[in-house]
Amino acid sequence: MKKKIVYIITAVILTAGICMGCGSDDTAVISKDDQTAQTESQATEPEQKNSAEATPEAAVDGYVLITEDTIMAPDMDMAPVLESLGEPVSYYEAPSCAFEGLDKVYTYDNFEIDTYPDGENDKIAAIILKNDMVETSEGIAIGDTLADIEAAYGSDYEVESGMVVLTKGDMDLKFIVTNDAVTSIEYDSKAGDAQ
Amino acid sequence: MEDKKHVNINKKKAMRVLLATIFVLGTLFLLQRLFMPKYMTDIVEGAMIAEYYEEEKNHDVVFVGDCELYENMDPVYLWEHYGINSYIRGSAQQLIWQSYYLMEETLKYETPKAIVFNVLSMKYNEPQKEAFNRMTLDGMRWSASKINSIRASMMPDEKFLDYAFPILRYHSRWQELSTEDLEYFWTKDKVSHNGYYLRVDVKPAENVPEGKILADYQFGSTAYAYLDKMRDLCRSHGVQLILVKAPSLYPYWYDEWEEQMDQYAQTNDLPYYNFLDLTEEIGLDFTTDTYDAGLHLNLSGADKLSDYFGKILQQEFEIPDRRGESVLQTAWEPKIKAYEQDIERQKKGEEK
Repeated sequence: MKKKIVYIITAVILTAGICMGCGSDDTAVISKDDQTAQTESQATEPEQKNSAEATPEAAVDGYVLITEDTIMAPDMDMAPVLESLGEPVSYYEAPSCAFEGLDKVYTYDNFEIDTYPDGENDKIAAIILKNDMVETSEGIAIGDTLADIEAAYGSDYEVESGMVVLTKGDMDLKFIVTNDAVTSIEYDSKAGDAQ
Repeated sequence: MEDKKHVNINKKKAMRVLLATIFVLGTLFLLQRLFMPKYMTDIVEGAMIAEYYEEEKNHDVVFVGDCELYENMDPVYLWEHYGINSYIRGSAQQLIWQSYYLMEETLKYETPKAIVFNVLSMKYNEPQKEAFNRMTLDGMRWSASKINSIRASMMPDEKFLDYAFPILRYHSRWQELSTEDLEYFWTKDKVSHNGYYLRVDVKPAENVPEGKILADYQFGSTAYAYLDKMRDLCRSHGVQLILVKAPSLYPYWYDEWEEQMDQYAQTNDLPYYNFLDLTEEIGLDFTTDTYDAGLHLNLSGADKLSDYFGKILQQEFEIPDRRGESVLQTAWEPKIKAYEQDIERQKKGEEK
C-alpha cells in the first residue's frame, strides 16, 4: 500500500514538473491582455526604449525623424509625441480582428504615424512620410535617388520585395525606389509588426 | 511452482506499470484540457472553428475565410429570408492555406452546392502570427487536413509537437488560470450563429486612411498556388467556387489587387463579386452599418449584404429555398431563438 502511494505521489510530482518546471522557456500565452504571443524579452524592450521620451535622439537605438521640435521613432510612447505635434489633420482607430486594443492612425500634413497598443500605452508602430516637405534626419526625402540614399546611409542595406531596407536596433527604415526616385519612406517597428 | 510465482510477480509489475502510465497520461490529458484557452469570454473568435463539428452537415452554401466573412454575412438572415441553409467556417486572419484545408476537410463531411471564399487573404504569402494560427488550428479535429494546415501555417519558431500536444505550448498558463477555465472545462457555449459573429453596436466610419504605397502589389506565388488548389478541389467535387471581396473599408483593398482578382476569375471562369464596388447598390451606409469604423459590418449591415447576396445565390447559382423541409425547419428554430436572444441581450448592453 505504501509503495502504491509513493508511485502515485511520484507520478503526480513528475507530471506537475513537466507542466510547470519548464515554464520559464515559454512566456508566450495567448490572451487579450497580452494582445499577442510575445516573449518576455520582446515585451520589455519597448519599455527600455521609452527613455527616448525624456532624452534626445541619441538615446534611441534606431533611426529617428525630427520635425521642428519633435523627435519621433518606432516604439516610442505616442503620448508625448502627440502632445508635441498637436492635433492631427485626421485620426482613425482600427481595432484588430479578435484582439482588444486599437491600432491608431494619426495623419499630419506631411507624415502619418501608426501606433500599436502596449498595455495602457500606445507605441509608435510606423512613421510614413507623405511628401517631400519633410526629410529623414540624414537628409533623404521623397524624390531623391538611390545614389542619394547610398551617399547618406552607405551601401550596407538589404533589398526586400523591391524596398531598400536599413536595419538599426529593432526598427527598419524602408525606402521604396521606383524609376530611381524615392516614392515612399517608412520608419517601421519590428515589435509593432508583431502585433 | 517457482515459475508460476515469477509469472504472477511479473504480471503484477506489468499491471502497476500500465496503471501508472494510464494515470500519468490521464493527468496530462486533464491538465491539457485545463490549460488550453477556452475562448469563451475573451477572444470568442477562437472558439468558432470547433463549433462546426456539432452541426448537422447538409449545408448548401459554406463560406470559408477570415473576419470579412464571419462578421459580414449572416446565415440566419439567409435562412429566414431565402431558405438558404449555410454555414461560415471563419476565423480571425484565416490565411489562404488554412482556408484551403478547411475546405478540404468540409468536403469530407458534406458536399455543398457552393463554397464562398473571401479573397483578402491573397495579400499574405507567408505565415503571419502564432496567436492567429492557434485560433484556426487548435479548433480543428485531427485529420490529414489539420496536419497539412499546421505544416503550412507554422512560423519559423513554432514546432509541430506543440500543436500535437498543446500542453507543451500552454503549460505556462497555469499562473493565469481563471474561473472560465473551470467553467468550460468539459463543455463550451456557442459563440456564433452558424459561424456568424453578431454585433449590433454602431461606430461610424470616419477618416478611413488611404492605403500606403507598396513596393510590390503582386500577390505571392504561394497564395496563387492555394487559390488554384481551391479551384481544383471544388471542381473535382462538383462544387461551385464563388470568390468575393467583402465591403470592408479597412484594411485597404488596392486597385492593383482588384485587377489581379478580376483577371484570375476571368481566366479560370469563376464568379467574383467585389462588394466594395457595390456598396450603394447593397444600400450600405457606413455611418450606421458598421460597429468598428468600417472594418466589419454590424447586424444592420450584414443583413443588407446577406439580402443582396442571397438573391445572387438563388438567381445565379440556383441555391434552393429549403424552408419547407421539416427537419431543417426544426433544426433552425432553436438557432433563431438564440440569435434573437443575442440581439436583445446586446441591445440591452448585457454581458453574455
